[in-house]
Amino acid sequence: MKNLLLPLVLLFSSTLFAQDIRSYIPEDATFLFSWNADQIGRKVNTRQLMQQESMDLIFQEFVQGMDSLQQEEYHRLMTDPSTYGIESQQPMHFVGKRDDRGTFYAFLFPLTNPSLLEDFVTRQMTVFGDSTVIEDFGAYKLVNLGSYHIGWNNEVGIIADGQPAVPAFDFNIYDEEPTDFEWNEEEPAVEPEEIEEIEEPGEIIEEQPEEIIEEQPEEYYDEEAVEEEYDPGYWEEEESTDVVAEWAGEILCRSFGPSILSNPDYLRVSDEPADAHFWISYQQFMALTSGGLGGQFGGMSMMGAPNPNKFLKSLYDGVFMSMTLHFNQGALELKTEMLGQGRMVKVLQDAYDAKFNRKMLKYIDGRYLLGYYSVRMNVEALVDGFKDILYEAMAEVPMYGESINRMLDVVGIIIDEDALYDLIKGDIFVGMTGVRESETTVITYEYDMDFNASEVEKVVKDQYPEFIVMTSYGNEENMRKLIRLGESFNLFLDMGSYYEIPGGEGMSSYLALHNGVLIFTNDGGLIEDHLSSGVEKANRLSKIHRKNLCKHVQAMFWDVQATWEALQQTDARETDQDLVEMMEGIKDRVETVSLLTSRKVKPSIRGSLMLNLTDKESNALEQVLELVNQVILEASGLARI
Amino acid sequence: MTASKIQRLFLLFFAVQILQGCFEIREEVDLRADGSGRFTFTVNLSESKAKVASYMRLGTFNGQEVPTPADIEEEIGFLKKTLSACKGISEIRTYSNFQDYIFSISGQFADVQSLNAAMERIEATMPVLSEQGAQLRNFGVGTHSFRRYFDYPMELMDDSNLTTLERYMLQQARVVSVYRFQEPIREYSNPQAQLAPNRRAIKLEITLGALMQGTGTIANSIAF
Repeated sequence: MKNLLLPLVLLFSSTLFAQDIRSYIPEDATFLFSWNADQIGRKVNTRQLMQQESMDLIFQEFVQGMDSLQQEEYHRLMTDPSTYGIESQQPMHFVGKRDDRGTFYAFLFPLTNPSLLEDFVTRQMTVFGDSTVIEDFGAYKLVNLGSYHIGWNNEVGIIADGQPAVPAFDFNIYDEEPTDFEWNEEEPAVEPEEIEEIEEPGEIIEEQPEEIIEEQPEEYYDEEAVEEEYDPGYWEEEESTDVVAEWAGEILCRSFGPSILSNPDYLRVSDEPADAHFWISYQQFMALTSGGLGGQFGGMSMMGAPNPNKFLKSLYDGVFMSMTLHFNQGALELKTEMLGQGRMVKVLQDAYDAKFNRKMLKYIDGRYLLGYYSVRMNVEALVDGFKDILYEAMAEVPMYGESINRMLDVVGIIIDEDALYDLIKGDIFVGMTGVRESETTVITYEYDMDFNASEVEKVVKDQYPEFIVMTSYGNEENMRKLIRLGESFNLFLDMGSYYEIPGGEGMSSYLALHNGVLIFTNDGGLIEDHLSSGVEKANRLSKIHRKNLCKHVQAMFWDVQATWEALQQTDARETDQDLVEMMEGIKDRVETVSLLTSRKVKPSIRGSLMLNLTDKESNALEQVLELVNQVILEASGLARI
Repeated sequence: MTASKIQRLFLLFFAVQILQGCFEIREEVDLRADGSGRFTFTVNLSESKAKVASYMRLGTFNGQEVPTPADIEEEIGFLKKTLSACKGISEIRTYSNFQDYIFSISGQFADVQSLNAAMERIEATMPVLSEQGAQLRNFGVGTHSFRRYFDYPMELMDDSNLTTLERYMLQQARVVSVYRFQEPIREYSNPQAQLAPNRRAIKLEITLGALMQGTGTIANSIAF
């Protein structure tokens, strides 16, 4: 953890702009995180933030064991990095890369005066022992400080770490030359000798053994012989530091091929103003986070099954994800963009070509809205897109691929795809529209003086969240067939124009089909009395929500404050304390949460996550760091960082 | 078959307990001076009737078959028949309310030993109790004393593993015992019991949670 603290410290302490050091980042980086210190510095007082108690705790942890001079030096590094030649007013970057050699990470920062940095590093080297030296490679210098490397040239400094790849197991080690052995079949088998009977022993004369002198063997373990014979062959261990040093050198020399600045998609998204930017090569990132799904061994492919890595590659190759973070006044926004020429982008672009069924809008009561989630997809386009990819993946595996393809063909005979697409339109809306009160009459007892019990009716009121779930359908007759199936299992009761799912007094749910919309809700009044007209116009969703639903293929909204108020009306405090505690923590800070994915999918698929905070006066970053500060302080008595 | 159905009834009770939680089990014993008396056992699921009705309609709960009203009537009939055949037990009456899910069984006993024997016979039909080989005691009577035992073979429950909802439900379910005597009660051992003003009746109400966690008991020693 300590080797990450220094870059974190520098991230927070940097405040401004300068030269673009992104030319030191390879185009095929797995991910890149960039921090726009200048923009952040204009929004919050970073020096003030640095003085928070949690930062002091982190710092104390970091400098533990150092003498006072060193502590003072690191404190100066935190508060004024320019003292050590670091250009603290520029974007800094954290890059990750995975290739055949291993997995590497590096923090890059711009320099104004590399010699100041070198002096600082030299002073730290005494901490790491005499064997630590600064290696001078001409174009750059590099030093190994234990578990990580620090390097620099005239423009940029780097803190690098990583792990070498574990080499693949070479099954060919067993391909040894066969021992020369000739089986001469002409030779007859050896006949067993007859076993002679043993004569009865005669008198046994015990002879006294002579004195035994134990001779100590000189060397029974010939180390040289063992080393000569031992041939690792299939297992060569490289020092991880050599691999990381090599990679760090490539970065500093820019000997990795084109830089990320040659990627036009990256340039377009990174040039948009943002406080922080995260760029991911999707396929590489999936491989990195999942350990390669079999990694170097490709375990599944050993058994003839499709190699997941290959499948992922075909799906995500050429797909990038860009995320920009915006710390605004009273709000935090994360914008995402999926772009590139990869197949996944194309599949999703086709799948997102779907319209919102506006008929659903009239059934949503917006007066006490707690939240909703809506998503829609063009099912046919989605299935066709993935089918092609799946067939190709199957073709890679001759052992199973052909059988699976033929099986899918048979399934295609049984299932009428067109009928399926006509039945399922690929959209769903789930909404929590308030709290519903139900009354139940129960029997309790009253006792007289002799404790004789008499039955008494009591009305018990319960509160339940009111929900509505809607999906579009095409063929009504086929949909009714599905519902009749549920009826046969006593799930539904046919009430004529709708179905009831009984749940006792005030707790029933209802299912109705109307004009291409299947509605499932516990609002009996809506289904029984207003199925055609819907909710009164004045009580429907507000314009902004209607717009969000229509213009986005995915829309989520959560009114945290309304949810908290609804929770107070229930007995959640007694029945679900964990939920109440969680909500208490959230409702003090967050007003609403919304997630949107745009229906406009070209040239890229865009989305956004917005947290509207209760405190509208201060910047979101200040509020986030204040929260982190509280969490760290609370935990500081329990665990060391 | 009958034993497993009785177990299913218990399963239903506990299922309701977990999911809705609110129900009451009441036992009443009226003891006369000659040692004979009347007993009544009542189970009231009224506060959970919505859930009970749903599960009965579905027919299963957690993969287990839920008894139908006909099954329940059959089991109550079995209980009536079994108790009627017990020596010293007479006038067995049953009550079933499938609207509010209240069920009770009552009868007369010649002496406390007959009552105990009848209860043991019923308990023997429940594998969950009989397989554990437990010697279950229920009631005891002396010259000037009456005793309710409670040493059922139940593992004490650790509520730290329960969710808030489950803890809440266990605190809502109740076990009530009411004993009435012709002599005034001089003293009793269970501090949670309530004495009637005329001192001839005593009532004890305890939550199922307290019973299962061992923090409460229906055991009581009463002296006249």
